[in-house]
Amino acid sequence: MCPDKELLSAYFDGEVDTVWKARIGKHIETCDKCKQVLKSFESLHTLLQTEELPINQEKRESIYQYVTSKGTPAVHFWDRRVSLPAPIALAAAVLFVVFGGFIFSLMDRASPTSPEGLVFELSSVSAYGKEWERDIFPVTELSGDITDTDFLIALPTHSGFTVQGEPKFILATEYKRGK
Amino acid sequence: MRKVFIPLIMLAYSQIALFPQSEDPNITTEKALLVSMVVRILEQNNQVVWNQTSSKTTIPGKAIRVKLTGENFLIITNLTPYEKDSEFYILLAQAEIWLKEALPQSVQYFSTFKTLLVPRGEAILFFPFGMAATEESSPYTLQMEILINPYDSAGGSSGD
Repeated sequence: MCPDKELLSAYFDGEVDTVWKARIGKHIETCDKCKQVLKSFESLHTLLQTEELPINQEKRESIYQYVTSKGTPAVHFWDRRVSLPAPIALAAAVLFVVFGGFIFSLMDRASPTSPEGLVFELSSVSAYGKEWERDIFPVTELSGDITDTDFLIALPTHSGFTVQGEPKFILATEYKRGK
Repeated sequence: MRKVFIPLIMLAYSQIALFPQSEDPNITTEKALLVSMVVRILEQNNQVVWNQTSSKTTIPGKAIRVKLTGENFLIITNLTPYEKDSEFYILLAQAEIWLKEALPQSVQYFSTFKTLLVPRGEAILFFPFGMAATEESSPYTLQMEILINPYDSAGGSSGD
């Protein structure tokens, strides 16, 4: 029975003890198959000793650079693995939910959804940005956000209003009575 | 095991606190009010030379903010309607007026704040620059008519 390839390889390298060495040697003398295996080992050994390995020069350079550099290839941030302790990860998740919800609620408030059928009419929109409006802007800011209006009604230009008296809210019937 | 439950309970609580059950839309619609506005420019003989109609749905206590702009003025009005009883509304009306005068170059500022007891179906008139238009002062009067009605989801405004 032929010894396996590993044992033959060990025999070739002189790594088997003397008892086995003698027995394997005796077997090889009579076995052509094992002789062939040993021959292949020998030719490989000779090749490795004499021939240069056919390594591409470019590849050799890149390997050299890799070895001389830090040894860690560049990894994109999305490929990096981040490990967080479980409590911190949980706290981050809770914060995400809380702030996400807060921002969502703000967005919801900014654009209220009207019940079905409610119609919000915007009659007229004028651009805010006249020079003199900008002059008084700090004053108007005191009374809240000037742009935060439900209606922006632009009156015709050249209407030429002047002050006729105090601004007044009055019931229509009282006004008619006064007339 | 308890350690696992505490964060889960916290998470569930945060969800309840942040996303409470929305108000019943029917309740909102029942209490909703429709505030209609007509802005007019009147001549001295009360002839309407320009008008613009707008309306907005709100709920009692929530102000409607109206901004009127013209060539030389800016008016910001806050109208907050309330329901007093079956006969009356209460309107909190607040206005600020900025008027730019050419000669002498200046900006006049006026403000007014009034609480009005409004019988249902009656209109309120707002005169930002006063009521008495005379030939000497200005040929035009600016008027805003405000009417509060209960909101009727079927047809917009039910009227009174």
